[in-house]
Amino acid sequence: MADGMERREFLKVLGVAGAGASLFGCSTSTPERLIPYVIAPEEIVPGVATWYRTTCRECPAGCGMDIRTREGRAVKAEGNPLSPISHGRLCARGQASLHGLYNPDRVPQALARAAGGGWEKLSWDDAEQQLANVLQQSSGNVVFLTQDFSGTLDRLIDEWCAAFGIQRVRFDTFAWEPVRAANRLLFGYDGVPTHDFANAEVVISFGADFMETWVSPVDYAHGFTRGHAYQDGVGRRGRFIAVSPHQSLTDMNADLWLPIRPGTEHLVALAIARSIVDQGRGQAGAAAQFLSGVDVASAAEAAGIPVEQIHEVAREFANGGRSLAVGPGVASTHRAATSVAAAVAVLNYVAGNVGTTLRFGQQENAARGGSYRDMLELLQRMRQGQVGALLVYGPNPLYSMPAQAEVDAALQQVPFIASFSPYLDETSSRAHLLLPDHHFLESWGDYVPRTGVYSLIQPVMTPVFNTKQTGDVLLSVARRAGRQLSTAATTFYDYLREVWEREIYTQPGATLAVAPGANGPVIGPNAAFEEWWFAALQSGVVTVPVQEPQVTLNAAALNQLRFDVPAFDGDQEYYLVVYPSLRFYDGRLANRPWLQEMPDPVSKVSWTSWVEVNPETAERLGLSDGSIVDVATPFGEARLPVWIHPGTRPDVIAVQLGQGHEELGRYAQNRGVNATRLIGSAMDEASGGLAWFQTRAALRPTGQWERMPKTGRLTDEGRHIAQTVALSSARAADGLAVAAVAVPAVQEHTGGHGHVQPTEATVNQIQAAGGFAPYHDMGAAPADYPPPGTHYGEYSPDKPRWGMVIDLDRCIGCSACITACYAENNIGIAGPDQARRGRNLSWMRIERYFPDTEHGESGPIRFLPMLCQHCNSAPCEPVCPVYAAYHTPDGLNAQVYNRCVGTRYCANNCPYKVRYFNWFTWEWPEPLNWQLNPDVTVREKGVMEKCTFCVQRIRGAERQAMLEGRTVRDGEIVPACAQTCPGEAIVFGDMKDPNSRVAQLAASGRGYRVLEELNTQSAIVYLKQIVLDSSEA
Amino acid sequence: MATVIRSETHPGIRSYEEVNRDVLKLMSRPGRAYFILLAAILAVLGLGIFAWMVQIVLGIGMSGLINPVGWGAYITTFVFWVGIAHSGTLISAVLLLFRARWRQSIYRAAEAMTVFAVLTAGLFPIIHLGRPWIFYYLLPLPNQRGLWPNFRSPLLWDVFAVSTYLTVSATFFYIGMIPDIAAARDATTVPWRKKLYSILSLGWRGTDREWKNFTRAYLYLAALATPLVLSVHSVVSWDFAMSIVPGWHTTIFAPYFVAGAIFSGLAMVITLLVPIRKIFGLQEYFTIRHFEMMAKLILVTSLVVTYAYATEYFMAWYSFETPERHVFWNRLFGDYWWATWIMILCNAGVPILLWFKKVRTSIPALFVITIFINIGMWFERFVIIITSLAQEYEPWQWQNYQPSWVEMSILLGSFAWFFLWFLLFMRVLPAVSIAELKEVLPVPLRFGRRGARSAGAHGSEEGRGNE
Repeated sequence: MADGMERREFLKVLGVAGAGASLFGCSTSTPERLIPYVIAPEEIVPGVATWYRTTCRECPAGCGMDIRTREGRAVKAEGNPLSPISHGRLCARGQASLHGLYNPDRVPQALARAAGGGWEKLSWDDAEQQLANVLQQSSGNVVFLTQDFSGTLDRLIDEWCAAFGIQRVRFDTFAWEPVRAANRLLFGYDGVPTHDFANAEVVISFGADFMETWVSPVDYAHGFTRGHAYQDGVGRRGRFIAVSPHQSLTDMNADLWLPIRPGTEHLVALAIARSIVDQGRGQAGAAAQFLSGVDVASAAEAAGIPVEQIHEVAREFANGGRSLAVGPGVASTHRAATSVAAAVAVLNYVAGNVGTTLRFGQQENAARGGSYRDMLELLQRMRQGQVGALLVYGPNPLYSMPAQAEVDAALQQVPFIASFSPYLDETSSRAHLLLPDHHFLESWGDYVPRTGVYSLIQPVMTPVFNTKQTGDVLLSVARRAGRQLSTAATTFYDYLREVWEREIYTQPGATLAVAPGANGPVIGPNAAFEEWWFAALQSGVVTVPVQEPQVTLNAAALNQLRFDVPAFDGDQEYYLVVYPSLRFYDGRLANRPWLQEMPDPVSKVSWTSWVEVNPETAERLGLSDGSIVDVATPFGEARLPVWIHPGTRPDVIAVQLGQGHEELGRYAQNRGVNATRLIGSAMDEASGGLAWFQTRAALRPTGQWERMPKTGRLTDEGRHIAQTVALSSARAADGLAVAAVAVPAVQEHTGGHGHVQPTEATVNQIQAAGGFAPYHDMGAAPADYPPPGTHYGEYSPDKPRWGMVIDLDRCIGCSACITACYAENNIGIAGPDQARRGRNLSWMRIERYFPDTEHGESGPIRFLPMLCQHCNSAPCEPVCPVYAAYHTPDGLNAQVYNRCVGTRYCANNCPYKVRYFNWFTWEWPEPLNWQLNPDVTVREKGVMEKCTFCVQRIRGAERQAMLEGRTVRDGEIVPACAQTCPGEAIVFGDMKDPNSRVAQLAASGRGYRVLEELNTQSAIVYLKQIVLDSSEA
Repeated sequence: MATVIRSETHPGIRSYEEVNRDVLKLMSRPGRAYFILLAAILAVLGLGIFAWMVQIVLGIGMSGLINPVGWGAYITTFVFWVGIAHSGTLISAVLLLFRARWRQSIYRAAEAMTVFAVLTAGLFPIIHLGRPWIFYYLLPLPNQRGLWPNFRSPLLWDVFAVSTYLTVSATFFYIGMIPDIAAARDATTVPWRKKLYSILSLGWRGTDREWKNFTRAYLYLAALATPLVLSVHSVVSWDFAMSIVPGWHTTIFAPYFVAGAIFSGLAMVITLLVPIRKIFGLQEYFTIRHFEMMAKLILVTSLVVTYAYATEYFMAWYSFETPERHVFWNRLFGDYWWATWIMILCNAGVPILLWFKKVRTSIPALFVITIFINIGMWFERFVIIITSLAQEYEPWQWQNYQPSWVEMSILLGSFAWFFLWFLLFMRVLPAVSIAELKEVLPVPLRFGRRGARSAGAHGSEEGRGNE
């Protein structure tokens, strides 16, 4: 069916029509009642994976998704390569969606609040009838509170609300109100335009964490690395400038960080725009008059940065429409956030980016409509008793709104609350009726992530619990209540198909996404809908061409905004930044054990909350990592451990959102602190969005200390683990002309203890002359290893040599690979207590190193994915007394779990420390264990384990190739980490094949191996991160 | 018996009969104190066994071991006990070959200590396994899996080294005891003892022919055991030296560990003999001279160990290797500075006192000093193992280790296990060599009625007396 789908020919991407999807798959009953396949369903071959295309709904971005199922159970999530949103990649949250599906704390069935306060089980008939009765009896004061669902579900809810006379309120925690408001004012578009990072050579972010949670992080991270990372042989390298008082993960990837005073983003943005105009590098256009009133010098002074830096950035940024300014993000949403967004828009306008890298025709669908102000109005009415019944579908305001909004009091005034949430979150726990929705992986639906992109959602397996899709519930309730809808459909699936047949199928230019160069689902231009629908399910995404409009700037609107430094509550010493979590988004994903276990990409703390403090501040207060402090704001107080973050201004502290749940489940509850409890309900008045960055805070040391569940350290102690190279050196090594202005390169290699390493050029010369670092013949085993005549650990010269190249200039540290690895390889969840002792088993870890100033290092923050290096001369292999660690003929460093007796000698002798020990037998509470990959052994206590290069995928591809009578093609084997990497930093393949991509990349002048001096002859070649030469920054 | 000829080495012992009586008296029915001590030891042993059970059932995560520090208190204690095991063979075999006359009265106890220390040490590699229930995977047993152990692994060498050492030292211990068991057989009236000794003495009658074969065999066994003194601890040291861990990967380890082992073993002999001498009234058998000779040997080995320390630090500095330097810097001034300074103080500092004859001949002083040395030598292994692993090549994975209650209980339990064996040995087998002691006593008929001549010099020349 999926003939010619380039990369995954061997994988069946199945579109399943109709309710047939629910006919097979696993029964929800207990394992004892499992019935073997006497008559097997046609599509299921035991041991062969079936893939389904759907759309990720863990955040509003809407990435296209492929789900791998085995014997009717979803076991792995990957990106849909045909989706323009995910590009075949997923973030950590998307990878962890399976932990939402199999979450042991899901609401298992319809429940009603019992008289005694507990929960009473209901049949779906009764539950729907109960809801219908309530709605029948209510007198027009019912409110349906939902998040923003784009697509057909959104339409059904609107229609349903109209039929019942229900008011609908939309609320999303992060609704980017300032960006929408500014665009509405200036350009007449109420929305977030699409940002084309791939074509932006220079990016300025004003606190927008576009690689983490901002609007469409996977697409943006993917685009960013394409536009920014060094291209070997081409020599092109983008620039990224971060302007913020506190570095998020995104900002840590910047080539230049401007640590501005809080609340001065808009001043800086306007100053840059003014400077561009002054330098004659951009067109002021309609903004000319407004910009003439901007004073660069006073802006620089207010922001606390040198004026020259603003001019410098302006010179860089005016790049003929190939640059992009973004902001604000949640962390920079203060009381003047709309002014920031407007200033950013002006900056883009002046630099000529509107219509090129900033596209208003294609709007991002992140949370249209609805604002924090709307929600406050609703709460006000609830408190006044004007709401007779509240239906909640999606939002969790009791958790995600500040205490000052008094959500609790409002909920208490509502006589009837029904919740459709699949999880018992804070708000649902106040409900009287729970109608748990299917997880999106069990549902039918569609999503419109951005204008003209229609992404289908289809169930990938039978529901895990006795839940019911909310679309079906709504249709059924309408029928029971005798309300007329525009459709005769009885299920949401039928409704969906009707809408698609009527509206999307017939749209001119509607195209099924097809992999480039592949035949794709063969569909004639006049194919019948049935056939087209089936093909649409296979491709997952349908696109419709969008015309890019002519956008004009309404400069007069700028005068409606105030461009001064906004007020902050309180007079305490520090500004308090609260920022969204890459792992938990706004906190909704906090009950996913994979995400809790994954160290935060910035602080590397897992399982708890912390407060980020500048090193100077910490030294002054006598704090170290793990010191317990009280953070007190005018709105609340929290006791938190300190993590010292060099990327924070001395007058700023930061707390991440997402932890501190009172409900939601065993992994989330009573863990850390809910940062919204530290801020008030003040708004950015111009947009009606919550001003997340609004208050000052005091920091009071308590004198206590705790060991945090934290990995790693700030620097690599001058050991050159993660290496950098100056751009000019990299270009020189590529034989490209060095930048016209000769500037002394940033000293990238001055090591500790006074010895100076050879410069890049020298190293390259040595390498070229065949000195050390024999990248080119790394396929060969060393002559004397292993000794001839041994039965194990023999490398066979006629086999491939599997290897990997990791481009550090592409790694953004997002840690998606970590969760992907956990999902693929059944890695145990060690939990917070074990994490405190450093007993996590993360086969893949991202080392985050700040420049080691003590050892004279400067330059950027470096991220280094560290996994088993599969050394040719592996120190772990000879020391194992029982041959549990041995070498395969194709160069893999294998670990035989069944042989392992657990001496741990191999881990002691591994210089990379990538071997992890099973200190206990880890638990996967039912039904989390349903996710376990059947291709990978589940390890018990006392066994050593480590990265296998996803050997199950290698062997699978080899067998497939054998069946088809060919050899494995380059790029056919993709380990889980490389598969999901949004930055495309990881490439896997046969190092011995000179034509393979991995071998060609490994030959780069930027290549090096970690701890090369130990002569382990590792199979992973890292490409050094680029440092801009000082004048180019 | 107006004039009594005194032995030079054992002036307090008057006659062969006295030797038999004194030594065999040790094996008589023990008193109440003995049983109280035994009960206390069994209680501590019980704690250790309980802790091990907990660890087996729940997982080795019950120990304080963590990801970079895969070896901790268990391997420390293993090396410690292997080291203790060294002096027994040294005293009995090497000193026999060198005909050092001061060994006769102490070698039996030292040998027993060796065997029991190896018995104790041998437990630890199994205790520290992640899956101890399949420890036999380490043995070269033919099996249907068609798999064989990896002979390149120093851990496998360890298996052979320790088991060889146990076999040889146990054989040596037993063979040397045969004439004494025969003496015990003849003296005892307790039925079970009679039966036991009859079997163990292999029908020894004390004929000339038997003596001739016995002395031959004993000499050959001594020659066989002597290289083991060097080899076992060399192999144990290679567990570390053969790796690439900074702080472990050094050629000095084998001689350094052997010297350390002899050092700690001798210290343990003194620590054990002092109370035994007092409790069982063996002052005439374990004389000041014995203690002084051992103290001198301790002093020598202490100097060797101190020199090895200095060399290690020098080589780390001279190597210009960042990780190597870091490990040694970290030992002295890092998180484990206290352990390192305990080690240096106990092993290099305290033994300086032994330069003084007054200290060497003071039993209480020696007792205290040797306890310091025992502690210091445990910490030496702790420092080598833990500080090296805690901060290796890859700074991201630096992590400190702290032993858990399980490890501490098992450590205590191992002492209980060792003393249990020793206590049983003291009451069941002759703790002092009856036969060899008589060699250094004046032969009764030859010197009995003659003038006061020194018997010592002649005694040994006479060969083994025949009763």
